[in-house]
Amino acid sequence: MTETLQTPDEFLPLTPAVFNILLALADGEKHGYGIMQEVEANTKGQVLMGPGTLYGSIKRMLQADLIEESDERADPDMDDQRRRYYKLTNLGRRALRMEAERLASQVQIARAKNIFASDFSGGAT
Amino acid sequence: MISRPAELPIIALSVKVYQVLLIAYPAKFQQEYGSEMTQVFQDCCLRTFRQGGTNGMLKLWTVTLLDLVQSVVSEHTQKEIHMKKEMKPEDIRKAGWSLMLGAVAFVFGMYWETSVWDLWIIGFPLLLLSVPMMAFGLRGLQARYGEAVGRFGKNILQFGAVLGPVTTLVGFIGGWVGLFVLIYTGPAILLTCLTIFGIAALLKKPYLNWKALTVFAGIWYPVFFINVLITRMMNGRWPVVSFEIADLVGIMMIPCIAMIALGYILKSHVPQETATV
Repeated sequence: MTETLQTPDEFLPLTPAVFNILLALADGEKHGYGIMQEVEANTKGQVLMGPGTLYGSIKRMLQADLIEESDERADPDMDDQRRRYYKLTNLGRRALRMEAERLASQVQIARAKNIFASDFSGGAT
Repeated sequence: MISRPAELPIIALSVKVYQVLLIAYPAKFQQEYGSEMTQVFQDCCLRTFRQGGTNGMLKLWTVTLLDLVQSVVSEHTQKEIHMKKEMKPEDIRKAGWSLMLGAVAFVFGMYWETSVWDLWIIGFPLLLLSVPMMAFGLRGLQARYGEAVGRFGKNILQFGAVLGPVTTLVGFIGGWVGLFVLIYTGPAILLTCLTIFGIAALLKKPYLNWKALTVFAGIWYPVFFINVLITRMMNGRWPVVSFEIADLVGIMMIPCIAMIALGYILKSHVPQETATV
């Protein structure tokens, strides 16, 4: 198998759309509508991704080898229409991990600067 | 119990309209993802209608139209990166013809649609047809002269060639909910962008022997349209627009001839190096 020569850090920082799609696919393959629902749930409805943004991002992520097409089959929970499924590649998973670590370190800095202090009566955490 | 999507008229109609709007995307993208996007939109419609009824559908359409405009511009910009490879000399020649025919269709469509009652039935479709034709002409100008005029000039033509037809299409589809003015806004956006491109061409590197031709071809309609908008704001209602035959000959034909000349120059001066893939 030929491994891509690209490294995950070339993609950082990820755009919110790409990060959310990768995150939605982290626990298994999904079809387009499944990704959209997962993103909406993960962000508590703050990120509403339309079909244009979703498939524009999917197209670019396929080109960048961050995701790959799985197969086409019907979703037993929905209807009998066949749907194309997408899953993370190794590169996509590594890019997601690096972006999550980058964001986590930003949160740590925010904590160190007592950004969250006003949210808790006890002061800094 | 909610019936299947095809049995709900509001969902079936929404899906049909969305399918029509997908033509605004580049053909390759539409072929690759159009059916999946329609399927996802249908799923969204079904869920939204179950949860929010007709009000929910209105909200969904607002979000979807915003997403559509944003992603259409984005996809065309992505496509523009490969423009030089994709726009072959014969396509640029076709764009020249398209600009010429689009100019004629626009002027006569506008005249017949607004001023000759018997010919409204011909004028209106001509007017609608003229917008994508002129947009294709703008893509040809972009491919042929974009490099010489610079990044701003290229982008403004790209913007006009995409947003002009999309705006007109949204106006046509949304006419029944009062968006009819967007039909006439589309060509105003397109021709404003052509005018700005013409000014950029004057300021950067002149690319034609007749340097002011592009500005001259593009400026009349946006000025006229702004005048109509100002009248609307001052009087609180849309003015009745009607042209006399003298207006057709004296005001509308001159920029039309300028645009025909621009299209002729475009189709006649296609360098071979543009053809290299």
